[in-house]
Amino acid sequence: MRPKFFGQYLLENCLITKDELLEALRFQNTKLKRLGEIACQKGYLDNKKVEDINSAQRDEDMLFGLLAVKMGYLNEKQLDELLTIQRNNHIYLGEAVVHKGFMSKEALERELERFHKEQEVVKSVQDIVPDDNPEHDELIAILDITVKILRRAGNVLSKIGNLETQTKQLNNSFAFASVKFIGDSGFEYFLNFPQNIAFNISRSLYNIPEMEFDLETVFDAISEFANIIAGNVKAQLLEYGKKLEISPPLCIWNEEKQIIEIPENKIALIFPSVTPEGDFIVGIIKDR
Amino acid sequence: MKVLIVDDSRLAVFSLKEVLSRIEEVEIVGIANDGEAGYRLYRELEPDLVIMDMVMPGVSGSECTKQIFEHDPSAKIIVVSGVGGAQDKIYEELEKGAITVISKPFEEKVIRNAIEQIMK
Repeated sequence: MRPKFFGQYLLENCLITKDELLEALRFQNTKLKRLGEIACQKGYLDNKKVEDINSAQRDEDMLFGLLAVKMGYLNEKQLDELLTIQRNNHIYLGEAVVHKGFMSKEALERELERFHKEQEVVKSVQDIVPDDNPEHDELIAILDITVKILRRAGNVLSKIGNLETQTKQLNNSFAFASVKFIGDSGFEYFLNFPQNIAFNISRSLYNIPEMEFDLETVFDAISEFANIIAGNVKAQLLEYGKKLEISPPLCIWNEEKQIIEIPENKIALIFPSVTPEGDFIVGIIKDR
Repeated sequence: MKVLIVDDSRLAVFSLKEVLSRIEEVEIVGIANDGEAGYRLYRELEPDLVIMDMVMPGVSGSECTKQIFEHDPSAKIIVVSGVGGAQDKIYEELEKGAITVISKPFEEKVIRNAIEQIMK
């Protein structure tokens, strides 16, 4: 599978041990300048305000910078500047691994190339989501990861179609799986598969041809599939500075519910998509 | 090696059973579908290894891992999760004491490698 975090890639491929990874991460952290520290150096915050923000963080699960803006201690422009300074002073995990002598520089370069090749955003997805869309990061992450996981885990090649909006209701073609995201942004991610694609994904997900797939197992598999995508989206969005939690997945069968109601205060952004085996829909339901 | 699986996905459990059945030294002693049952079975069965999912209804895998380590700091836990890719989560679970964190859907060789490392 495609992990988002380079450390996990190294671990899963037995390129370093758990203790080496933890040591490299600790070393990386010692080199990381805290946002509060940089803000004090720039004169945007003082120690008292940093303490206030740290203390507020205990009650509110938000990143330091976002909370500082929310509390009126920093403006957006200052936060951007501080994040840029922090990024420029950051050392990468790979550098920490080499510095600690857990890998050679050559091996690191080789592995990074493999890792980054898997990480590239699918080009067609970038063209579909307009830059000015308020959910740009969320939609790019969702569509990119959906396409990749469909291909890698579901053995399904897909092409995402153009954005459409829908209110009131959605038709459930067979299996409607959804996961709620709560935190720095809130929305419900969903996938709606016809029967043949749902069965294909179920068979491919863990590559267990000997298993008999009844309907219950297929719905379980599609839930699991949505959960895996959501987990990866969550990880991707964290890299964009958005901290989100996900709910356990739900999968609704069309015989149980043919129509998925969209509440009045919400709207669905849908991407009708195609595969050689048929069409499916991916999208989000969000506040209007 | 006695193994307890804690995962709410039937398919993931089926797949883990398949993979583990091909490792001679492994015996699956219990399967739990949520964190609450996972912790209860851990105390009852005293397995040598737990394979733990993260996102489950009710008590999450993360909470169950915490409870198990509080009860038995020498517990061996492999986290197998769809949310495995998030750096903060991985760091958190490894710091808690998990042996490793594996992304779903897992490959057989990755599970095998992790178990072989524990058996060494």
